Amino acid sequence: MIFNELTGGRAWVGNWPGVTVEKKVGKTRIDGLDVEVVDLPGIYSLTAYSVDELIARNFIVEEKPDVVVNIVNACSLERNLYLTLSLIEMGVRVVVALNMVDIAESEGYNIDSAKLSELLGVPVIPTVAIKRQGLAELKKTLVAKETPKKRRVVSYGRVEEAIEKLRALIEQESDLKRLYEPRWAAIKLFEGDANVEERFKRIPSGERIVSLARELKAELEKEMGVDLEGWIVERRYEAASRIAQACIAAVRPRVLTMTDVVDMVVTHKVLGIPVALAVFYMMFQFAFAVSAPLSDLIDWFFGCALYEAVLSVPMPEVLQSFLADGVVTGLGAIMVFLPPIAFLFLAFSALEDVGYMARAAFVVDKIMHKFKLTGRSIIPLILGIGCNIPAIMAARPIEDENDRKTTALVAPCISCSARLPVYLVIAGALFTGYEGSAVLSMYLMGFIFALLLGLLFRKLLFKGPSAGFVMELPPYMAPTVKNVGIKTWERTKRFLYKAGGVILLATILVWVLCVTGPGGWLGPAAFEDPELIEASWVGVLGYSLKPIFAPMGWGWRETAALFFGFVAKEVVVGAMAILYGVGEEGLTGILAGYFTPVSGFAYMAFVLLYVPCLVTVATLKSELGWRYAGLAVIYELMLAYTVALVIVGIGALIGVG
Amino acid sequence: MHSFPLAFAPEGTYVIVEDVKAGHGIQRRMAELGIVKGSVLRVVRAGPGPVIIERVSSISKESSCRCFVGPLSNGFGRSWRLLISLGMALKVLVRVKEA
Repeated sequence: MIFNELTGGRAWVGNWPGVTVEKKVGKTRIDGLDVEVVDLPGIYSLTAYSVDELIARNFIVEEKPDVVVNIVNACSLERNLYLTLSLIEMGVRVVVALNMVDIAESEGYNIDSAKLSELLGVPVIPTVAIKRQGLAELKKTLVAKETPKKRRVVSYGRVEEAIEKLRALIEQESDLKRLYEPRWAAIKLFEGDANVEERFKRIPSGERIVSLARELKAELEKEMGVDLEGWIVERRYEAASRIAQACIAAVRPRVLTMTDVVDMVVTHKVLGIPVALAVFYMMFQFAFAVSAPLSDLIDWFFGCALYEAVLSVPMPEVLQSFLADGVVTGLGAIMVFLPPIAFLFLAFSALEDVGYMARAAFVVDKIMHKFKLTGRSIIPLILGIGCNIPAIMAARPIEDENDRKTTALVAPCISCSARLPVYLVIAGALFTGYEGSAVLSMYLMGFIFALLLGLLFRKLLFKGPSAGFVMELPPYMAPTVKNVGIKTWERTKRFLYKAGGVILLATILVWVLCVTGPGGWLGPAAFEDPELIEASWVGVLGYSLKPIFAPMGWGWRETAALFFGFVAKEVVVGAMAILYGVGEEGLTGILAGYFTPVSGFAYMAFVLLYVPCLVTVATLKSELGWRYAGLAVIYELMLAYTVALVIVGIGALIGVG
Repeated sequence: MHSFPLAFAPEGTYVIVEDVKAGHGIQRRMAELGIVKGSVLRVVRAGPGPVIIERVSSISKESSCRCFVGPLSNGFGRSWRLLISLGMALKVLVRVKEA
């Protein structure tokens, strides 16, 4: 949030750690000076333990910013100072923004910022970012010529001598010296930092330093009888603790706060889960109910108004069809999902700012543990109900690599809102009176498969126990309109960017496949004429794939419609309408002629589980790489096929359908 | 006094961390969050399962200074609350602190 105020730009902070997952760059002018501000992920330390920390640390090491603004939460000074001391150790210029001083005061204690500044040897500016207090002063300090003070250096007692030895050696290596503050690098080597070691090993003399560090470390550990890594962390902690202690003055003893009271209910052993269910239910209810009229409006705009408008403008038939059936239809398919997703993000961002998400992670952790996942995976999975794409992206702050990959990989199993129209059409036609249960069963199936596959992947692919996680429980706070608004906008925008290009391209491809066939050009009439489309590439595809799906009792049309679903799953409905040659409204009436309840149910399950839509695959690729994106496609196809087959098999066994 | 995983610590008790049975990375992370051998924790929400703890102080055996007490221990522990997942809580061995 301080970043936003500094740049007047847009970025976000969440009321739980690790929300800013990419660095963001903004520009501003302070006192006639052009300043580039880079927002780094919120982190606890500079260990490079999680992706976030690595991003932050690499930035500081490689880009050598002129100054680092360290936002210190006044409510947990000691823990935050740990990071401050680490930053000072790195040799960068640090300015501390002591944030949330108002909350600290309401908690019953004051922090002497002048004393803090004196003890740390760096400027400390008290701020209340939400109320924009102290920000002007912060800006001024950033560009001010600093009178050099004695910066606080953590003293490592008996290890100092060894650190000095290494430091002197590193000092002589211009390559290393340019990259690292020598003392910091020396300490990191004693801490066994893999990244620093790796960098050192790239040059021969660096390799010698690393092995010397290892020898010294082993010697010291033997001599002191401790694990040096832990010992160093402890010394730094101790220094942070001392400083914090010296600067805090208690005003009045702690009283029961709102957070305490709410937590009693929200994290309750019995009540916790129903509360979580209720909260998430309300989140979706809100998102879908509020957005429904907007979606209808957009649907009408693209499906009728704009479509007709394009048709009414005189132009060559090919171009007209390309624009109307390709571009407009494709855009419409994405835009219809914009309102529910935007509102879902809105509700989600508000919950996040309030501080509820960390509690939700606590409540479900035990259940998730049974599936070898952790409570942190629940947020991505829940978001998946809205859309799988943000779900995969939301897996990023999970520290444990195996947990993160597993979560992202199984997220496409969760039934997203794009699949709902398909269920609604089929259930409406085949399960009259039981539509609700049929649709609900799909959602349950999605969750169950996500968890089971998670377990499977954890056993086969990402072996090893889950590291679990530790996370701070933030105090509850009222969300601010600005912060929630910015987050919602950023997330929605990201979704649009990701979705926009891919879906548009894919729709155009599908259009081409529809209007051409083995016999050449068919013309846009194919969209009106079911017999013509039978001769198109889509028809050919449907026919050639049909034998595979014969056991389920699906014809070429149903098979071809699935192909369309690869673009975006809701397109299956539109595709069916084209292939059967009826309007979407007419589908309900005729589907019973093509499906039995069992084959229809199998179809629903198949739509739930088969290849995630193109954008989801693209997102998986960008998060995990091609290998895992490919794996997701393959496992989902296999799973979908098997499940559909099993459903049909069970149907045959018990004699229905 | 026998030690047991933090995941089984009773609610409302004070426990002393005996050991963090985990790899270096995790041990470090825990240390950075104030959970090291000797830390005193108050169990706010107990399992068996994931726990919510409040860090009261850290008394390190190996430490050159015998004891350092966190400033937030005098009752200002609100935002010092940590959620420790079940997986992690199983790796932290504690014993009950006598009053």
